Amino acid sequence: MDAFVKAYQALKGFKFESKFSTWLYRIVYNTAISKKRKKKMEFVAIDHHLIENYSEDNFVAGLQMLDTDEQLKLVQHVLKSLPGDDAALINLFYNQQLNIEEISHITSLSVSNVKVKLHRIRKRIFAGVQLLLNQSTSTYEYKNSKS
Amino acid sequence: MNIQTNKSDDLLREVFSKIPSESPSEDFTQKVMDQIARENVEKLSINANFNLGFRTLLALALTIGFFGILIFTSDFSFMDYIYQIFSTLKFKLNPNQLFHPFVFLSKTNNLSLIVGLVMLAGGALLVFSHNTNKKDKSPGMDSFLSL
Repeated sequence: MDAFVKAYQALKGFKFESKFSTWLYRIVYNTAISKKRKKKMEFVAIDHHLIENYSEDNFVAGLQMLDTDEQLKLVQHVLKSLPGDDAALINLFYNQQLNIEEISHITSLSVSNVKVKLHRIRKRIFAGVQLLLNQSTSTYEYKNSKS
Repeated sequence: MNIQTNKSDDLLREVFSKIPSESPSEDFTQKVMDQIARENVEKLSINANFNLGFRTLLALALTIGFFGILIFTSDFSFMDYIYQIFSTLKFKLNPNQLFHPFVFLSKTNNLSLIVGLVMLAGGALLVFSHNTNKKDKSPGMDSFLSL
């Protein structure tokens, strides 16, 4: 809601230099990031070793084994573990399907920086999903061995 | 770096497209407009509430006092009229006794000296006001939003 209030108050400053949606995204992004910083949220650190040694094939195979609901839960869980700006960036790219130039304009990052960040975030998501898949597999095996 | 054309990326895009987007509540627009109205009222009340701080009052008093002394010790003809009023009110006002250190101003016709003193006092007040304003500023007031 704060973002919309700010957008309303800054409406006079909109100079039609970009799309209105991009301008609005920019305000929403900045407001959200600012709020996240104030809250000082703690994020689950994904093991660096795992991030560097993930396998995209394992990610695809593991995720495809799950039904849609499980896939969604898993990805959303990993998204929650990301820092606010990373989650926003990946959402803008995949969910809102904005192009790199638009994301660059919204986040005030350079195009190459957006690409690098997206690449890193994707790696984190792959690693996070893989980690959760491994955990659920071991829990399943543990439960099976008990019974 | 190819972000858009591999299997894992397509899968990720597919999963993201299934994430339900949050929709605002029915009274969202009303809430936003209420918030805007509230903030506008607060802004107006802040502007209307012109509050003189101690330092400003001190600076104002010093300025008035200084110019008062200058006028009382000067040779302006209208001062005779004021002294006359005071004498009719049986109130003795002798500027030579009241403002002994400034009497030289009344004895001299050196206009440049008076102008110089006024400018000096003005400069001093400016520096004083600048310093007090600096101290009055509370930290962390920077606006967050860089549009």
